[in-house]
Amino acid sequence: MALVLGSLQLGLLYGLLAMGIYITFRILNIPDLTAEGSFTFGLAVSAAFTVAGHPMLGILFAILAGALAGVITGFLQTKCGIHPILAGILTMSGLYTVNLCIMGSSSNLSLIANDTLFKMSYDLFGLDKEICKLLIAALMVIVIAVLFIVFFHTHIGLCIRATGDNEEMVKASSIDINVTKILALAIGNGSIALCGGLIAQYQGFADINSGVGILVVGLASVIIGELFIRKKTVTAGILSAIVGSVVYRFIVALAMSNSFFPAYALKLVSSIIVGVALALPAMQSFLNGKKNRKSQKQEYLRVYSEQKGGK
Amino acid sequence: MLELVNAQKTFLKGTPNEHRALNDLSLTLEKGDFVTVVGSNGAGKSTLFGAVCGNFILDKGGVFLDGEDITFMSEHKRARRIGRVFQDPMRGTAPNMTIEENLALAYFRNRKNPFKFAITKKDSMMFRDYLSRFSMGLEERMDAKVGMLSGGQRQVVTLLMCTMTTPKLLLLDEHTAALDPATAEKVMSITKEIVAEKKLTTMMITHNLKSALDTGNRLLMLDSGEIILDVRDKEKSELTLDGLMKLYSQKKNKELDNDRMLLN
Repeated sequence: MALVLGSLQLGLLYGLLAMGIYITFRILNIPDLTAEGSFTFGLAVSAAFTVAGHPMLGILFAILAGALAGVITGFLQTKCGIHPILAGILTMSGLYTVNLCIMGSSSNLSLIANDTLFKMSYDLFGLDKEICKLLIAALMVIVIAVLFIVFFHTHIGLCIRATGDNEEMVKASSIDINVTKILALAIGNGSIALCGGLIAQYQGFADINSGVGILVVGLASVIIGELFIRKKTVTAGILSAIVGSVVYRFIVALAMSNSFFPAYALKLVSSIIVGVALALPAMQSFLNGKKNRKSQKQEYLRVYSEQKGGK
Repeated sequence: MLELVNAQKTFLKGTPNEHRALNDLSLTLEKGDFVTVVGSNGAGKSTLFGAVCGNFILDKGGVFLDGEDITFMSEHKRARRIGRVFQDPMRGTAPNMTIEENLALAYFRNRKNPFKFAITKKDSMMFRDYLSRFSMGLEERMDAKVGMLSGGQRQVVTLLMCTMTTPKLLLLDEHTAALDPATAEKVMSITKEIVAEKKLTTMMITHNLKSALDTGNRLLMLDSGEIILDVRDKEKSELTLDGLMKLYSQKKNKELDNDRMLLN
């Protein structure tokens, strides 16, 4: 039971990460490495505010911090003409220093002694601790998901989706693609940093290395989610990111509890999941091609031998 | 309506491949002109369109649209005033979005508030009505991804997107060249219908000399970045295919060298 509840809590919280990755990776069509920095950025900001006694403000500023990170990456990509992946790496790398600075140049910050959003809610609702955590996680992810779904059906949302789909066409229809790209990166990273901010208060500590490999976790969630929800609309995509994140956490919990893998194998397993999933279309067409070539060969060999036999 | 003043553009300046694409070109379009543009490969036809649309900034000279100086205006801002259809049907539409969403995207030119819902019931009805006028069966497939449509259908959708909100200028860059003859004709007739109805000022590049003679009220022939022939109205309607080719050889002292232009 504790396992199920814990996985559900984590899955929903990391659903915010998965939605952020979905926006940059699927909608904008950019593998955005800023995620690794912005996740920790949100985590660090939230932890610092919590230590100072303002957990709510911490969450708010975590979102703003992530959005800022996204804007910086967007600026590097568009106005400065830097390759999208390199732009993300630059921001991520730079944020490492910023995050250490926020955490008072220590790589760890404990929030055990401080009031967090989750601790405050136990007193407020008077419910079971685990249920409270679940409620907050669910509430957060639902509110943000609804906001995203509405947003991507507005004009500006439509423009962002078109930017990822056909940049050339968007340019020819009076939309500034620099603006749509920067905005999408800000929103995506805002969501990712919000996830980091909540995770810091949820687990009661912040670690400078929390963001390492987080992009792959997010991608794995998005891809797993797409296995469950096949529809290709934005609404389906955002919901599938959350579903994927929850399923991912269950897989992780299951693997850990049965000691299939040692804990440190997690990143390798995630990478393999993502690698295999992204390679599937190519493998499929390769196998189909092989089959076709085989039948083609049989056919022309048959015709050839008939002709020879005829002579 | 549209005015180009001494437009000059050289690509790859200072390299062995230096190419002067527009050579001191001046052009004035009257309101309601439907101009067909012909010329051999590398004559500067597409560069002319690029200069008007803002794909690049001119080296020298200026561009004016409806009295407004747009010489240094960015591409997307010009796009609010200019509609453009490319030869490649893939370029004008977003393949993973539905027909309705594509139309809504184009309709955005008219909107002020970007945070309103993109497609209201009213819009949806309007798009449907609009599509149904062209009897392509598109109005029944409003929720279909544009990527599922044929090249001709995509070109029609692009054309509708460009003209739904009346642009000051419509640029057609060989927009039927990638289509099969029957579809090309259909798209062409829809083009003529829309241009006539909305009285659009239009420029159309074509490699089909016959179509260039049949369409519009004015014909430009480009060569080496210069306008070498500009006929309009009565003079144009009296021009024949042979006459056009003779004029070309006179001007350039050489035979028209483009098989594609002749074979059509």
